[in-house]
Amino acid sequence: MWEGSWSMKIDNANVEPRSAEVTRRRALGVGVGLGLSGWVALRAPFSVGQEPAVDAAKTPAAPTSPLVAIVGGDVHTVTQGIVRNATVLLKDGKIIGLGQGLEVPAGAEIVDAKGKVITPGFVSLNLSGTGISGSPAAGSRLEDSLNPFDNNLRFALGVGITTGCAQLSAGGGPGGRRRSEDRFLGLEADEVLAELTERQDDLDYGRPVSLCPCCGLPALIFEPIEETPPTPITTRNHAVIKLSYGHLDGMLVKADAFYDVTPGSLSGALNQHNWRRQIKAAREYLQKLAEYEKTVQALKEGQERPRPPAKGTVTDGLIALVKGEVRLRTRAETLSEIRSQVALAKELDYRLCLDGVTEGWLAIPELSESGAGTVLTPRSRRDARRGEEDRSGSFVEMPLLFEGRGIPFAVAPLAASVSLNGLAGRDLTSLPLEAAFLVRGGASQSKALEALTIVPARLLGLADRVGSLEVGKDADLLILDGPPLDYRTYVETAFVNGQRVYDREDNPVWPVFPRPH
Amino acid sequence: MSNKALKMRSGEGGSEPVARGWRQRWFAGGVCLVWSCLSLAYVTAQEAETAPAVTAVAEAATDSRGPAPRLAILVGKLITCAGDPIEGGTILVADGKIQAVGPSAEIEIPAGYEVIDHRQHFAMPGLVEAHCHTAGSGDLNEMVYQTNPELRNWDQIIPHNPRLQVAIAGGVTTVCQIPGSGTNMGGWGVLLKTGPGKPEEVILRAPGVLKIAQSGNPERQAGEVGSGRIGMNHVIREQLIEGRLYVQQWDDFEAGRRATKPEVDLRLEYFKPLFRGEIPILVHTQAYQVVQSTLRILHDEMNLKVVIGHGTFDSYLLADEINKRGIPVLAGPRGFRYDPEIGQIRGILAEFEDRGVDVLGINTDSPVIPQEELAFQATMAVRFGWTEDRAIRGVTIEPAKALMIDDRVGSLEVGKDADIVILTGSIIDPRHHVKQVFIDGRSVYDTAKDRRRF
Repeated sequence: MWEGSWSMKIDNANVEPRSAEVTRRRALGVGVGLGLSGWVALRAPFSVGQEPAVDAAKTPAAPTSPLVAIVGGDVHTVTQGIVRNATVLLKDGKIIGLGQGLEVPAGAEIVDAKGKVITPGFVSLNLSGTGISGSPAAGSRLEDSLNPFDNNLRFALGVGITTGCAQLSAGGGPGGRRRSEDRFLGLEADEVLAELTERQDDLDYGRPVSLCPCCGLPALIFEPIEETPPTPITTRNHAVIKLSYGHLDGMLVKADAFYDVTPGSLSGALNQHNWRRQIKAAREYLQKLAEYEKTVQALKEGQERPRPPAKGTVTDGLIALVKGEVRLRTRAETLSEIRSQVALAKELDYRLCLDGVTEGWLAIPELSESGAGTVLTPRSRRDARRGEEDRSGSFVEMPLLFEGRGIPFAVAPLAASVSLNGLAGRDLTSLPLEAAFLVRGGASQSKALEALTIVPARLLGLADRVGSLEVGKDADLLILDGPPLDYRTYVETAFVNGQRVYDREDNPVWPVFPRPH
Repeated sequence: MSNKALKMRSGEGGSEPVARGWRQRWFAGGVCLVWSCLSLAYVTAQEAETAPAVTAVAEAATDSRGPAPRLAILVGKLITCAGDPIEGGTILVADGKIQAVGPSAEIEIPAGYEVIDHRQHFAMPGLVEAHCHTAGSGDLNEMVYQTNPELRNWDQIIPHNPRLQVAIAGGVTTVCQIPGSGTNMGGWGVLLKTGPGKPEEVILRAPGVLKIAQSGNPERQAGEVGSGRIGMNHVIREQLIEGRLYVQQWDDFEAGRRATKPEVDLRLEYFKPLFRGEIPILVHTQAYQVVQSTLRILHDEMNLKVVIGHGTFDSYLLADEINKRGIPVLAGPRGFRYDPEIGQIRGILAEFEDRGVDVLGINTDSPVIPQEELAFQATMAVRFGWTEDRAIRGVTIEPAKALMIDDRVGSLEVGKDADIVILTGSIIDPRHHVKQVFIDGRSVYDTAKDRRRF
């Protein structure tokens, strides 16, 4: 995936992140070559070291596990209704049977779930400080940071979270806190640098003129542009992990599930102009790549191999976005932010996942038409602007309106990490309670359960594996001592990848007491 | 602050101009409150040297909130917080008070009462918040002196402000707005209703409580007395001794045990209701050792009404001592403690309940927890093991008892203020929401007319 890219030469597994040598070589090569050394010195540290995407297919999804039969519970499948007094069969990390009166094969471990509620494990689109130690530095491998014995996993499992999407920013490395491509989006000079570092023998690549980021007028490409560069896009990785306490195998599901941008980097005419160019460049690259592959296939023996197309500033994340493999995830709170993101996504043809969306109740038609997924935190309030009380701010009944118009919503807690500071119900572990607030806001119980399960699974592109209980899907399920949205409910047992990873009695992280009924 | 400075401030042994300066400042502050008839009345009373101990606000002759209607509210389930829940209840309201409450079969609706049909809904008393900082402007602390018995905060309340409007939608009808914990004695707080009205219409009692903070915020810089608990306990004790002496002088004079009339000291005037046991201290105290000094200094030595206003971390380990003294605990905003020894979360309220604490409630310390989430604080406490019916009492009648306003609010009983919350189910279940709220018999929030706020 890094053909033609200069960065390919860095072996991330063996070289220290942001190797000094690498940085120097890059700085020297470009700086001397172009005489833009000041510019390069500023830019170089930000441009190296994109970690190669982890190929989840190479990682075994789950180890083999013995057959488990969970018998007698009321199973909320999410996608196929509720099956009462059902049997669920788990084997090798997958659900291999689900229904009433299933025959339990001999030798199966039987789990009595009579009178219990069974649901899919919950999927949290936000996760921090849970299962991943520290902040993986830029260029390091995420696999090396997984910690299947993190105690926070047990707190999260105890409320039902079995899959989480962790926002990873770079820590410590020369790139600063955010692991990033950190490219000034689409800035012509940057493209020139990238092109030249790859193809120093081919200076004429057919675009002698670019638009000045300050005035939008044509500018010479070598004109030094120093003032008011566009907002750099600083992406975060959204790594998806299973909360498979005690089991490293199968813990990492996806290295990057979204294309993440900060809200500011797509706002304003200049940033949007550069974003359009960036998307265009990605599509052009894909087109060239397709043509290249076609040509290579048609090569006859002895013919010279053409040069593969250069990626320039086009990143893997951007390619995944324009191919429709991932959604663009960003925070859009106000009506104008929401409208702006929806309009850009429509124009440039990619899919959205919008966080916050507090004024989304004012943008129902746009959101409904766009197919955007949303991530709601019902208790997160935004004050109305003075004099615009009916046309701004948050509105508690937004879930009702969204459900009525079929706008998909996942739920996010007020904070993404486990907090032990004593303030109750405001951290990752309040995720199911936050879903209860969706019901308070008018959502049906079933939609609120979907907001915990299948909707976030779809937004992550993992609906074939998690988010509902169906034969063939991952065996991630919860045995609950009450209805899933009831504030008194706790997880009694959690299975992840077919393995029993949490038992309330054996892992007394939550209070254990006889429930008064 | 040095002992000498303290005396200068109080006028004892200080020069006359200093004492006058303080008085002038005090009056200047009071005169600013043009909008507050109450304050002016109080200042006038001070000038006459016949200060009322506690300013209880009488029903104003002309109420800006309009006349209190006569209402018959029919509800599906009646949670009175003064007995078992009643299926199918009726509440009669007149003159802002509850005239009758009980099973519908036993209550006849007199002619002329507007019938409000909530037979699909629950009714309960309005919630009482014991620890609020959102009923007024956000300037909670005066940081110069360590003890500030001359400061009062009811001149800064903003009735029915946007945060309180959302709080009403969460069922909260009474709040105790208190100064912050930046100093050891932040000043005097006020009890008020959350609904609209002039200050004198919404204030329930002023002074409502004295705010004392013993540890965990009022610490001073190193080099000053009060950088540690030994110094902070000293300044609290010294200030209270001074106040006690002052009140004793007046009590002796009024009882004829003392011939000469004591000099009025406005700085110490509000200690009168405190040392006469008419209002409590709401104490910012948390963790075992600090609560221990609360019990010793404020209760045992000073014989004051004390409310433990945080009571978090491992304070519950002192429950036996708290029970011996009959001290209320209004815990929060922290609702749980992570016990590192066993790696487990413990619910603060559940632990107090298990140890038999009688008057037990929960607070938000808003805006630490948003004011509208008072009931959700109780929800989480139930999730961590508190009993549900005690949790409902713990946001209504128990804080009312602790704040000594249970003759007015906290339960649905005849003669009490008609502060009634109508909701779709149990307030402890966050899936339910508030439909209508009455304060002093007037509807202040109605989802049939108003956009839902929470």
